[in-house]
Amino acid sequence: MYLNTDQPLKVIEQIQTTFTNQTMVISVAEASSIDLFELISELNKAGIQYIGGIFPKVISNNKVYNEGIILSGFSNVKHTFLVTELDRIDFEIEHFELEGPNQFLFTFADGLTKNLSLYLDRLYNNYGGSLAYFGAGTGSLTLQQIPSIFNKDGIFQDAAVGLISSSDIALGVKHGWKKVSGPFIVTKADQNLVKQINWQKAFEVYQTIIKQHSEKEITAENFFEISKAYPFGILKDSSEYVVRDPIDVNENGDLICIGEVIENTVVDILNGDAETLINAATEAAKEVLGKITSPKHAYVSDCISRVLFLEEEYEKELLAISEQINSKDNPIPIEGALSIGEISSFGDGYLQLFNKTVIIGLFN
Amino acid sequence: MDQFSKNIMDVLQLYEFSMAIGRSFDYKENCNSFLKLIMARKDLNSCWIYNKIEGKCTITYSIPEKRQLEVMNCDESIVENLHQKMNNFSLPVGQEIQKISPFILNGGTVCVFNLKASGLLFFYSSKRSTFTQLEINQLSPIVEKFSYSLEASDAFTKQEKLLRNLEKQNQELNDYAHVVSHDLKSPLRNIETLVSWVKQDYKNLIDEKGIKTLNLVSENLEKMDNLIDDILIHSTIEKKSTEIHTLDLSDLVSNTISAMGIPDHVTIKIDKSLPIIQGNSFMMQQLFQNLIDNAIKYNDKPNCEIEIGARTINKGHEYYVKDNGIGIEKKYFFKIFETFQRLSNNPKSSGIGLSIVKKIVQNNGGNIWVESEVNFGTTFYFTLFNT
Repeated sequence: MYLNTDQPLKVIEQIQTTFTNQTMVISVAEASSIDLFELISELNKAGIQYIGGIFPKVISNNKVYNEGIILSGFSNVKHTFLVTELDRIDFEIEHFELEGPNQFLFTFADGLTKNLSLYLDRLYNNYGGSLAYFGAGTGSLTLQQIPSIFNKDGIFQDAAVGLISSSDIALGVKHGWKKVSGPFIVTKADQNLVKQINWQKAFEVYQTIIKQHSEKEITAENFFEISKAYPFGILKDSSEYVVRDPIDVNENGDLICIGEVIENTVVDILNGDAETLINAATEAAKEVLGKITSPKHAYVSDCISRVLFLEEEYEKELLAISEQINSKDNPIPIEGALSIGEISSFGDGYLQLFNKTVIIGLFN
Repeated sequence: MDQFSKNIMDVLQLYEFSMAIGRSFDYKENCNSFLKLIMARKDLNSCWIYNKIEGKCTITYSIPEKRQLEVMNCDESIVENLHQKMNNFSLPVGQEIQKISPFILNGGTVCVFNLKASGLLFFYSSKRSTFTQLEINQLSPIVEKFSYSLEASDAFTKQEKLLRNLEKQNQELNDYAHVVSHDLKSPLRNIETLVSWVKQDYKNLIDEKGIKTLNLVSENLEKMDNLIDDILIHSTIEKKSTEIHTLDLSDLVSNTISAMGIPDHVTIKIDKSLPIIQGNSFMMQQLFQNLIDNAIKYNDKPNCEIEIGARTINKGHEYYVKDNGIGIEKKYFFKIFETFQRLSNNPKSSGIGLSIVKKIVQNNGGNIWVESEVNFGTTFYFTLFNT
């Protein structure tokens, strides 16, 4: 449910009327006027169980909003959790004993924290393939790190929240980016910094490839304007690329990505157009169809850079998703957020962080 | 993707996998780096390693780390049978595999790699019906390399453990020597006092032979006192050498000589080239004092001549202390630095002096050696490096 209000009590009223006995996932658009501390205080007073994150923009029924809140209710939630100090290597994740099959873990994590991949590694180390994973990276459109995770204890930077529910989930993951050049080897990297490609300075190699493909000169000044169309693709055996988004270049010529790129990773340089991206969103929606009976709602975690790339055509992507999911008799709300990194396990596979990808979760 | 591109990608993926091996000597980190990469690239659900530790099949690593051990009914004979196959293979998950799995497996297939001395490695995929022979063949040499790195990790861990134990035992031994030496000093002083009282109070009652015997007692007490002093110094070198200052060695050696009370027949020449260094003054004094003391003790010439000097070497200095004493036979060149080794029956020698010198030099990262000619003299050389 989409709400645009600066009145926390209106949010509480809406939750109490519409989402009785459910645990709430609250996605807040960065530019929303509501006072988040006041909202947290009122949610706590009302005894509502919730987790939340701040995103560049939110999505509701084929529209993108700069302001407002998405309220998503989840039933059969067994546990909620908060993980702080993700910037430290020794952060700890609480472990819960799981009961029974068909469970999923929904998480929001600070999309710009340096140990985001490590957080996902440790989540998987806790629960493995015994549940499905769905999530989104939080943060600001400026790509400057801000406190963007919240729960009953406050608002946090370098943190993650999550819930574990014993309900069914269907997952669709696609991006639509295609290879234009490669393969290359990331011969030197440090967490989210790509320092060398094929034993040469990463930025120089990247500049040459883009020049060859588009005749465009990419510089430190126009970096993201051009790089948003040329992500890295890490090839997996049985599925499509895991995309890594270079968002900036530093003074050393290192490419700054969202998410870790391990040293010696083999990558291709990708490119796409509106058609391939929107087709991919359609495919992601098709993937979830028929996987669960009587879905109640869909949550879309869609990368902010897809919006920046597709610009005015982006709403076509949402429409494509909606047309697929709501082609059945029983239309359901399709909501979500434009995220900084997308989190999914491809069903029951290994948990990974994606960029420039659309992830659709269907819940009942 | 055409076949050529597919081949290139296969080779590059194997390159990526092989580069992830042995990035740490730590067993778990080594496994993390390699196995998480394979899991991510091949979209697998879990993996685990069985190894035999103290005769028992034990899971030494797994992803996920949290194991559902309650589901495990580890039939060691199944693990041993798989290990005895000595090859790598794909196997659909059946009752036998479930019995030795640390997780509940939901259908699918495992791929088993024989790590030889490091056990068995299992990869599990819930989606696959098999791991192809081509894939197993591609991964086999990489996994073999990984098994060697596990052996290296294991050896490194054992070595680290051994070193820690050794350091602990060494420390305990030093502490013990320190406590014992310290406690021995007190009764020793009491005996010395009592002997001097006996000599004074009963001097009219004790004959010359008795006085001689009491003097022998005193001499042995002094010898024992020196020995305890040296043991104390030897056991506390590490503790006392932590404070580092700028030291002018010309001044330090001159002051050491003044404090020693050198006999008249001894001439000590100090070369002007002694440098200014960073070091611990107590240790440096002890080092030169012991070598000078040694040169005086083992000298039979009417004019005992000692020369101390230094020359600059790469990253430090080489020093020498030269005498015209009795000299040392070549066969004793190493033995003299061992604790409690004496070449003569000099009552003033504790047999620890040169061992202390060696310990001080080695604590400073240097070396010590000796050159000598019997009846003509000895030169001790040692190096000290800049800190």
